[in-house]
Amino acid sequence: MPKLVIEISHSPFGHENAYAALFAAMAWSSMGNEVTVVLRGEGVHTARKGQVDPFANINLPSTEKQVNELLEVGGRVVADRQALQIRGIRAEDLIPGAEVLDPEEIRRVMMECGERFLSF
Amino acid sequence: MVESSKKKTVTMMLFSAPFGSQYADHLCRVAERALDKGYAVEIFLYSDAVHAQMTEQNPKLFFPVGEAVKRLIEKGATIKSCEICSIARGYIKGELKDGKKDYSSTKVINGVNFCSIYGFVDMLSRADRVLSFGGS
Amino acid sequence: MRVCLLLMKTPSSDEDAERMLGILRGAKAQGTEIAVYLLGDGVLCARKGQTGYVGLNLGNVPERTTVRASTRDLRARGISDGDLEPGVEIIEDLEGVFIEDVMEKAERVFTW
Repeated sequence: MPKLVIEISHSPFGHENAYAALFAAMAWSSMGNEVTVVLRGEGVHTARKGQVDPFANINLPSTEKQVNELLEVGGRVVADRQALQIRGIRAEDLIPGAEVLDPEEIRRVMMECGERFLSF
Repeated sequence: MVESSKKKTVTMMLFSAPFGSQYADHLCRVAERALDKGYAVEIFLYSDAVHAQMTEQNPKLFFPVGEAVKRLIEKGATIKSCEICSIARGYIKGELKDGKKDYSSTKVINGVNFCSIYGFVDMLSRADRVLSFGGS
Repeated sequence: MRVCLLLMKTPSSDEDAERMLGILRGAKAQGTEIAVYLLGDGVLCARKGQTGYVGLNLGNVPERTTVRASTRDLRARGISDGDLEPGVEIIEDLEGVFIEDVMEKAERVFTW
């Protein structure tokens, strides 16, 4: 099956982008397909752990739950190292299983796995 | 004009509402040229992009997205709209009626159909090429 | 490998530029062919005299890179041929040229 790369460049909650992207990634992955979610810019906040009941607090679904579910079914979630660094997000802040890649490695992932590419 | 025994398919996702940005305009133009050139076109309306399906759009000064959507359907494009997004925004109720989902609506352009995210996954898996408009 | 980039916006930061145009940087070393298509606000990337993260920096891209901008979007934005970086092709039917490239030649296509 063809591979899919989904890029998220918006942080969760302020825009629907992260949620919608992860929803599509999960559906693709649950059909036995390979997906890589690439987090860039503000999108790297999607890889931070520790969300506290977003639905109760702001009436929005938890993207942390989505990321965990995606990782459980074999999806890959990678965050841009430079984007993390300038935002002061450390490795220990990340959802276990989320990877950190340099921009050059992300480019390689896009070229190797980006037979289909969606940008959110 | 591309000649082929089997048409190549381009699947396009629209993620932005019409008029607020040019993304819907770009998608419609690219889709129309793809159809003119003999490619099969499938479009998925996701999130606020479902507003492109609304009937009676009347943009006096903007690119007429509603008319473009109708034209794409007439030319053979398959346009599917996200079911959950459309229910959330009041286009359809999506309730079960006689065992089938009821997608009847006076607010939706004739020819626009609905599907779940799995319908979109199916479109993505069958496509020869995938383009996204408006997410980034 | 042939890659098509469709830009419909301009980068708004160094990060954005890396995200949208970083492929150009990597391509030089790998001998990748890149075709950049500029539509809508994307045509603003082709204006000459821009510095920093704005603009394509065409002096620093792989040899086999083509850049094409939509006539319609350039005209609407008051950008004339003389305002563009050298080497930018101005195309009347950019959408048609783009889709045929994507469907017949390119192996990867990234859109922003």
